[in-house]
Amino acid sequence: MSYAYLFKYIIIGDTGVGKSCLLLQFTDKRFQPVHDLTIGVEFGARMITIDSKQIKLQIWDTAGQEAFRSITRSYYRGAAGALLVYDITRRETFNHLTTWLDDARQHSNSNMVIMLIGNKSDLESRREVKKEEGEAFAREHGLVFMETSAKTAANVEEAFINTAKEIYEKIQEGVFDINNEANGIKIGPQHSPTNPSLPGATGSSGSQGGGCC
Amino acid sequence: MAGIADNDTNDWVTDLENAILEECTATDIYYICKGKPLPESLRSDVWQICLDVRDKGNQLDNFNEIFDLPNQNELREDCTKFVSKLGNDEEEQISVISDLESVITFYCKCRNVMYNKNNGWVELLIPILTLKIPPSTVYNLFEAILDTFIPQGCSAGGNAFHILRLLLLYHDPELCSFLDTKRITTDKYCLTWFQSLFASTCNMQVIINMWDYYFQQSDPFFIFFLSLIMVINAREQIISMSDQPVDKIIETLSNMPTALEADDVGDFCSLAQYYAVKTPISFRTDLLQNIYNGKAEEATTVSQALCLPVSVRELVQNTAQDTGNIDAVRFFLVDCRPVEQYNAGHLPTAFHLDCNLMLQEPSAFSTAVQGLLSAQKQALAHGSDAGGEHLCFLGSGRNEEDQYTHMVVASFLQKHTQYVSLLTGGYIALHNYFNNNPSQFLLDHDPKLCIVCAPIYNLNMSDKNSKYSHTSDIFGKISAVMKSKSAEVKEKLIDYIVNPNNSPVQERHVSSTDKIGKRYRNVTPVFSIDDDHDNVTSVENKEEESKELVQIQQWLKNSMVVEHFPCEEVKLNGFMYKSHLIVTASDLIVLREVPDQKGIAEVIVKRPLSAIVKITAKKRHPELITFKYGIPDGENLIISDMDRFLIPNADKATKVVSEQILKKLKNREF
Repeated sequence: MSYAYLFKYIIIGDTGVGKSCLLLQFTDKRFQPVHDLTIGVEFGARMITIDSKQIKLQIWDTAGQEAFRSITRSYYRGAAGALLVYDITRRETFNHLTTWLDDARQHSNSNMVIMLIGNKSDLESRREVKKEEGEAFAREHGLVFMETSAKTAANVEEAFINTAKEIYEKIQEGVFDINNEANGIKIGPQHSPTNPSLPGATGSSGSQGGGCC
Repeated sequence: MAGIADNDTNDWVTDLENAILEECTATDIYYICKGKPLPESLRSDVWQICLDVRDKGNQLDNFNEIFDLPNQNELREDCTKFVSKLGNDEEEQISVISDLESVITFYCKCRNVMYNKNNGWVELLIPILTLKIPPSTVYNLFEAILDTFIPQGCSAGGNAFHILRLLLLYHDPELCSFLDTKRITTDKYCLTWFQSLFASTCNMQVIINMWDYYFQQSDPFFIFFLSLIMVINAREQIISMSDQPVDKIIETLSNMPTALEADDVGDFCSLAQYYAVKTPISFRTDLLQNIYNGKAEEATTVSQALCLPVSVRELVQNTAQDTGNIDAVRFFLVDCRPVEQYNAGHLPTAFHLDCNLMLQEPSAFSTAVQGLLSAQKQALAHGSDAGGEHLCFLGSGRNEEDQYTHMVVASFLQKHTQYVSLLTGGYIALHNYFNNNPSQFLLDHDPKLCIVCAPIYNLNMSDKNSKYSHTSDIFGKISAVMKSKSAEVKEKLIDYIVNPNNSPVQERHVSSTDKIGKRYRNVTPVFSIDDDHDNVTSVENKEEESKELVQIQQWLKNSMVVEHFPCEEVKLNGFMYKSHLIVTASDLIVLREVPDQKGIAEVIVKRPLSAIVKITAKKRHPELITFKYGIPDGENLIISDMDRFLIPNADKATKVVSEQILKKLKNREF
């Protein structure tokens, strides 16, 4: 399928906060309670529509364990958006946010949009981190904030799509240099002015878009 | 000697007794005993030989008998506690306790280290004490075992446990993933095994038998494989405990060795030995320093490794040698670099799997992976040099591309693929390994595009005032030859030898632009080995069993010889042999020089000229000539075999051969 833009995302946060479950819920619309620990990095993709434009999200789900940190770090570079996830039922995952944020800021490009996610909102009875605390942290560090549940799918769509909207707005404002792929944004085949030979290059809705992806 | 020892059980004991009286080493002992449990009377001597402490003397003489460690009381309590479990009579107990405490106290003082509760030292000493030997010998053995066999990073989170996890991931990825998901790290159940060489969990007879084997074997990494077997052995039981609390699983795992009985030790150890053989070895050299030399805890590379690392040296040597041992590690090399990098140079045995495909066309990627697995199967069935059960992945060695390589490797691991390893340093390291002449070992190596050469190459090209510098010399020559000769030579060749397919010579590689489905048809046992791609049915390195040795000069005087060309035979695995290509009126003969005997050569093969169906030259290396043999089959050719040579005077060689073939054909017509 053709797309106007491709955005590269990365999902980060402590081990066991539900990063892989969020991705699975977003890409496959299902929840898998028992999930193998992510080794290194996994990858998922989905198409969304913003402003009647097709946008392909390419999402990198990283392993939360310290053991894979040097591998996961290499994925920050070239990401346009990051979902920083903690578990509202485990205080320590919230406490580690600063470390994650420092790491992300240090290794990514400065325009990367970061969305703070408090996951497992369905487990209200076991809550250890108040929603207000999450909001305060996000405000303090200039992040967008949302509580989600990968299990019930609450706010999952919104989390991914709102991040995309924010990136899209930044593109409109000219903040992102879309010709530099290191920013995690790629123009779709039918938008590329340098590639007029491709089918569907006329900028129409791309109904006969080339390629098999 | 070995045969007799097997027939008569007492003979090896006599041999052992004799060996002990003479100067001998652990290797001699292993040769005599083959890991068998030792006779009780000889054990202490054998252990001392194996651990090399016979000449250590009495180090305890230097002990001032002052017991003033900061935690002396704790140590004394521990000693008392352990000895009381042994059940000796009271008087004996007191002397054992005092020996224990002396040895440990002295060790702490000598090495300036602390005694820590549960560090395994007391458990380690008890089997030594059963030998009933003087305390000074006990001390020497204890010190040697700690130094040689107990890994330094042997504390929770230490490197030793990261390595054990990598080994488990290598051999049983599913079980490893199960334990990872439960957050059961290896140190949680293996710590005591490592600290005490199983002394803390096994009964005395088992420990003694195991140590007999262990010290004879004298392999410091053996503990890793013993532990690995222990865990893999318990796999069914562990996975069935999926719903039980984590603590329970850990307890079950750590108590596994208690089930071991003295009679099982032999099998247990040989099984561990078998797994050791089926594991790449370079992690040992890379890590030996780290774990056994006191420089522990520095290497983050181990703890951060995605899978077992394999060094370039091991990969290259492994491909070159055929051990004949079917259990030994054989690699199937998967080159994950982007297609343009692959095309600028790769190992002849590499299978190309473009990692970008995974991102851009996931379905094409899974087709490619299927293709990879079936190609691997096929290569294994052919016994090709490229075939191996062990997948070794190769990235570029640069961060920007290797993040994709890691993603591909992770996807294999997540699918629980066994025997997955990653080449340390990737292509850059490989290139550096061949630093004198990468073009000789890498196929299609193009210095203008190769990520290692290109920066240097372009630098030299831009510097027009200087003549070819040393580093660019070879590249310069090749490209010059390429320009002048390549087209010409190839045209000639194609004209000379009729190509029944009449297909243009083209580069072959697997890339995302190829049509899926067609890609893996006619996969030859070695990938991208040639410019053209015809139905090679069996290209195997058939070597005659008995070789004929000849005097080269004498041979060349033979009137049959039309022409002779010094050359190098290039094997599919990239190995080259100094050879002579001899053209007679009827045959093509290959003589290979015997390395240590000047002027002597082996007759490698004699090919009738009539069997030659095709002669080709590499586009980029006109000196690399391939002769193909076979028979025409209707419109196609059935290629039965091929030889490949690097001939300095290639132009002339192919001309002479072609002329002889034409002559023969004419003679037949008349």
